[in-house]
Amino acid sequence: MMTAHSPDSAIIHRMAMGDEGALAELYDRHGTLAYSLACAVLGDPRDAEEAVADAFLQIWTTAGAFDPSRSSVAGWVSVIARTRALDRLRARRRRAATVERAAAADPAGTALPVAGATDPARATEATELRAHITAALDELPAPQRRAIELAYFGGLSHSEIATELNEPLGTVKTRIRAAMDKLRVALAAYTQQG
Amino acid sequence: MTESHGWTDYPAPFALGVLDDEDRVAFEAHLAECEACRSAVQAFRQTAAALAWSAPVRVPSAGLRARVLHEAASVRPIGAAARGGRAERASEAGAGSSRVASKTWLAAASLVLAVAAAALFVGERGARRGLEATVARMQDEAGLTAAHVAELGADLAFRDSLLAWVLAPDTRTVRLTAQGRPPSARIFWSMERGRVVIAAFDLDPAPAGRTYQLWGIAGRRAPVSLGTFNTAADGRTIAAFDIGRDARFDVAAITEEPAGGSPQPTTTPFLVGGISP
Repeated sequence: MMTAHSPDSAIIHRMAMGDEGALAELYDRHGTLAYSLACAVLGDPRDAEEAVADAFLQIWTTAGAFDPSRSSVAGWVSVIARTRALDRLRARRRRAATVERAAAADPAGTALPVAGATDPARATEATELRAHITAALDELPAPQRRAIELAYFGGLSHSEIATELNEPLGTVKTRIRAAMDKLRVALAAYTQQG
Repeated sequence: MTESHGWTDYPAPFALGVLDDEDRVAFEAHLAECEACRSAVQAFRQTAAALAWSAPVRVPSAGLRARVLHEAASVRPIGAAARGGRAERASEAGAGSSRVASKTWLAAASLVLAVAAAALFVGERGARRGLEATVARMQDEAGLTAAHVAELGADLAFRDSLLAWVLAPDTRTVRLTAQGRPPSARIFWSMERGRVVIAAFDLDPAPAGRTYQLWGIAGRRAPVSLGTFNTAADGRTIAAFDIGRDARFDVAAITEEPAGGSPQPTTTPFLVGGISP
């Protein structure tokens, strides 16, 4: 969990006071995370940019409402970025009148081994976090991982995942619950220090 | 609450946002009275948030950073020193304000809906608790607190100012239609004040890299751009444009154009309406 004196905390405080430079710093620290997440949800880099722009406008206007006791700043940014990306994904699904997971598109962004943060220490921290979470997901049985990805990146519900995978609803529920239990244990150290 | 209360399987999928509506509503009602489940949800939310880091790394363009900072410059964070009323900002920024105006309207609409929902459920204890749980969930997702409620109040004031303007005697109403089918739009037009407000309905957001553009056409002259706008995910928006006090037009039309708008229409208007003198 973020401490009261963490760099992120200071940035959020300055943003709440209307400091646009602080927004630039927050974007430099977490923009890549938000954009990567939006790309994973939407597939299309232009759609992802729209979602990220929406997200950071919301983050900017509600900075004073951020509650560090509920999540880290990175967690808060990712929740908002995911929500805005899923909004667009669902609107696109309505237009297409079909349910699809937009993972097949080829995002134009460049895949990098690090988070792209400008601060080397921050980049190292992000790389470690990313590696740990990837390892935790790799430990899951493939069906559990697939169900988690459809839920998190696809925004699908239990019944929608069951339809997508052509599996019984009860099976899907069990897989997701089991996977979340494992991830909670595996990621405990990281989610607590945020 | 004890471990045998029957809801122990719900916090994880709830935090992941994967519960179907019926299950979610039932669990939200339970959450309002179960501290153990609220704690479990909080823990699983952190687990779910960590999944963001599993997305393959993509580096955003430099243009996105510039855009984020540019858009932020047109609005103030909640509680920060105001630089002027929202209605003023909407008018002074012209086309560039449409995105902000849209969000402001949505925020105001959310407040109205929340009040309506509260009125509907008041007096019914279980349902009210469910509503409280829903609000708590929304607050958690969006990072909302009492400060945001203050913003919603300001947004409502903005909406009121728009309503007063719309009802002013010199404001004309123009309905833009596509042969009687959705989408539709209504324009509130004051030539004397040189201002136009457009409200669009059932209009899906423009595809990525595209935008909607409002045009005014006088006689046989070339169309004049009045501004660009886009709709929210629910297909609605309201946007205000300053067009100059001397502007006179006979027809208003909307086209879909490349992001940033075009000097002249590049597609056929899909919404058209005549402006009565």
